[in-house]
Amino acid sequence: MELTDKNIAQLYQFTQDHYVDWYDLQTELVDHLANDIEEIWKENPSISFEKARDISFKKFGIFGFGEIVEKKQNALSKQYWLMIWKEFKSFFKLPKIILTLFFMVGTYYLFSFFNNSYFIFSLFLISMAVLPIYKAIVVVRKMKSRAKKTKKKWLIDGALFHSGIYPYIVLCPWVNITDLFLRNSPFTTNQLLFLSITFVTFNLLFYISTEIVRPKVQEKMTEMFPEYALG
Amino acid sequence: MNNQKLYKGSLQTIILNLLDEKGKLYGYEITKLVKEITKGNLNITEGALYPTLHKLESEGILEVEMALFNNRQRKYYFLTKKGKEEKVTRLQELESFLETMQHLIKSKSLI
Repeated sequence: MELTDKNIAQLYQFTQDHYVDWYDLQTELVDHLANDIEEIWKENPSISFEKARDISFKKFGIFGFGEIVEKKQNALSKQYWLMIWKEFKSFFKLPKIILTLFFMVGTYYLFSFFNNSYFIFSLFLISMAVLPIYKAIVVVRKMKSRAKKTKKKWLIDGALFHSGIYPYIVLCPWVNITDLFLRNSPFTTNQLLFLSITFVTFNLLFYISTEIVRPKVQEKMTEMFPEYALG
Repeated sequence: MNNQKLYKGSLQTIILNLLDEKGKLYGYEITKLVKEITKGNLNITEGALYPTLHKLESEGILEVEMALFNNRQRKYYFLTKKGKEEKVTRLQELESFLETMQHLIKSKSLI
């Protein structure tokens, strides 16, 4: 005996009722429950769908799907950061290291040139805060649009936001920005070097997260779930 | 003592070995196969299986693909190149561990 379309829809609802809101994770759990229910029916065909479903759910233990959700979120963040780290390392190997050094040296000279112009200098550093905030607004809008169009929530979207954008807003060197407004003398050479390296590293990580890794992850998601591209 | 506790530490190796043998498998199939092979001695719980699969996927050891089965989507796992290398290493580690345990158990000083 096989599950009907109605049963499958009921299983999706069941996972949602048990705090799994995300379609990408629900799908795997629904297939698991469906397989187990069909197996239960092989042994006892008279058992109802609801009863078989509850027997199957009990096998997930006292925490139900809770532990799976939590660990999946951790795994997605880890996967995302590993991809970012791999790309980041490539910018410190030939040939990309030439570009990285070029930006670092270029930024140093740019900062040195504007060292006495507090206003222009502050614009560079403020851009480190503005860009992630702007990107966060765009991404949140996109996530909402995708959820609306597909009528589904996606765990990957949450992970991409929390690991790929949120940290840049938090990590942004607010202290430097504040210091810039308070300081009454130009930065020393060492301070300029530190600021240039930080500026380039920060923007490089942000670029890798949003423009290289994020599209790769989304492309894989579209391969797995074509409706994901609807957003 | 519950056998499950002894198997727990080797869950990843068991999964990697199965995937190497079978090519690609979905979650439920893995639990069923393990149960069959071990004649019911090892029962992989759902609460342990999926976090393990997701962890291996996040580490680039497993790759996934979706396929339509009847009226539902199914997620298949298979080994990546890194996963195949990892499987060899972990099997060697497991064999070495078993050998050490054998020596320890047979050692007269323990009796």
